Amino acid sequence: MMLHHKRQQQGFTLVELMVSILISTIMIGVALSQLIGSRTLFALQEADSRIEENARYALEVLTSNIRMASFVDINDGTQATVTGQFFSTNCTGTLAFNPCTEDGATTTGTSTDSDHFAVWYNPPATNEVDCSGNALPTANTATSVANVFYTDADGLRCASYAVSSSNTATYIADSDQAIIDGIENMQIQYGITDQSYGSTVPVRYISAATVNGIGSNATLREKWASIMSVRVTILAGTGINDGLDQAASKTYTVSDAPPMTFSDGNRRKIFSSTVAINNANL
Amino acid sequence: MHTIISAKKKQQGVSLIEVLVSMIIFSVGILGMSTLQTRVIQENIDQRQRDVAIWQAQAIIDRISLNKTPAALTQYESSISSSTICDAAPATICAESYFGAAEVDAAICSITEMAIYDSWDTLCTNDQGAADVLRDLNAQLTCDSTPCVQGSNLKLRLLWRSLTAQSDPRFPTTTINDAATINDGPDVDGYIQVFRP
Repeated sequence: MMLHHKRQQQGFTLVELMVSILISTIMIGVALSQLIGSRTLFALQEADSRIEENARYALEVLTSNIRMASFVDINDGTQATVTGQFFSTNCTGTLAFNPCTEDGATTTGTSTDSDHFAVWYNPPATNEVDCSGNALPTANTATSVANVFYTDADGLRCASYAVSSSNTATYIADSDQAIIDGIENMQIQYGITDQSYGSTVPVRYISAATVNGIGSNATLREKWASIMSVRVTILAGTGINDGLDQAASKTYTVSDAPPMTFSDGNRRKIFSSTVAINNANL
Repeated sequence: MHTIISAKKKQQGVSLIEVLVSMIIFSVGILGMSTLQTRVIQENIDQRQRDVAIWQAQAIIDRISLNKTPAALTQYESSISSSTICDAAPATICAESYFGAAEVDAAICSITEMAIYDSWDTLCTNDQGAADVLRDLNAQLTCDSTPCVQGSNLKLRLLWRSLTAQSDPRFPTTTINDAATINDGPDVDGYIQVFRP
């Protein structure tokens, strides 16, 4: 009875079945490897453009601030006194975060020696805002402002301080905000002239600590007034754990910070921009 | 029982040839799709190359605008256009930096030393990848007057090998470094910016 049934069937032979299985396996294999390959590529490209967007925005904010640094009070002709363009006194005190330009002040996880950077300027009457774009409290609209940039686990942050005519800084409430994530380290170098009168060409790029240390008989104001340009170098990542870098560990040398080695497999890149201080030598 | 048997008798199946033909048609479709995808990825890579090139050009121009005496401009012209600029670090390092684990202090540089350092630092060392992303990068800076002075028109041209660029007479293939050994890119892409320091 069983034998009789089988003789009547017309389907594939075993050989046909095996050949077609073989062919479809190869096809599926090719399709899968294509799919996986392009998925990885897409992920990489998305991470790279995310990094570039983070870096571009961070550098945009930093450079537009640097271009405004330094001021002369139009009312009484007084200059930015303490350190010229960069408010760098009062590093310790009772405030939550004091305005301070300091070399290698922040370490977050594997990111070490990230700089602090305080740009001191007098906002124009039409644009009296703090770092995050909020209007300054009316009590502070007549004063100059120091915007302090630094990095932490949230990326690049900025806090604003109102600086009185006696150079006392007051934290502007709620101004300390994360500006953009993914910025893991920021190094600032200052292009300093040879300190001869009227010279405007930077002869070397040095960190804040070196600026403070040069020419023992010069005042802080004289030292910082010789700064003609600023070089910002940032280490930017995606801001998330992308795990897309194949290397087991990778070392980055960001400007004058000691080399940093990361083994979390996240993608990072170094970006740099050099900006002239338009108001230097005021 | 009887009905099942008769149903099986009538079964015809699909012949191997029919299966093969349909597979061929199917795979032609898939191939078309994957070609499209490859093309999209290539265009994307090219876009990133252009981004990096524009960024790099901006970095160079930023630095030139800080150091623009005639002697410096002449030095920038020859250093940026030099095909050997990336072969060795310059003798004078004008910024505090690290070479491996060794910290190097910033030397006090003359304007020409600063020009050499700037050219090397922007074209050869930046991790955003002028060297990585812009394959066979070839940079050239030319000035429209001799001597080159502040206010002259300077033309910065960057050339690199791209995956999808169409040929463009402004970007001659022969100027790419090592043109003889690299054959996997069809053509050369470039970026030109004219500026006045």
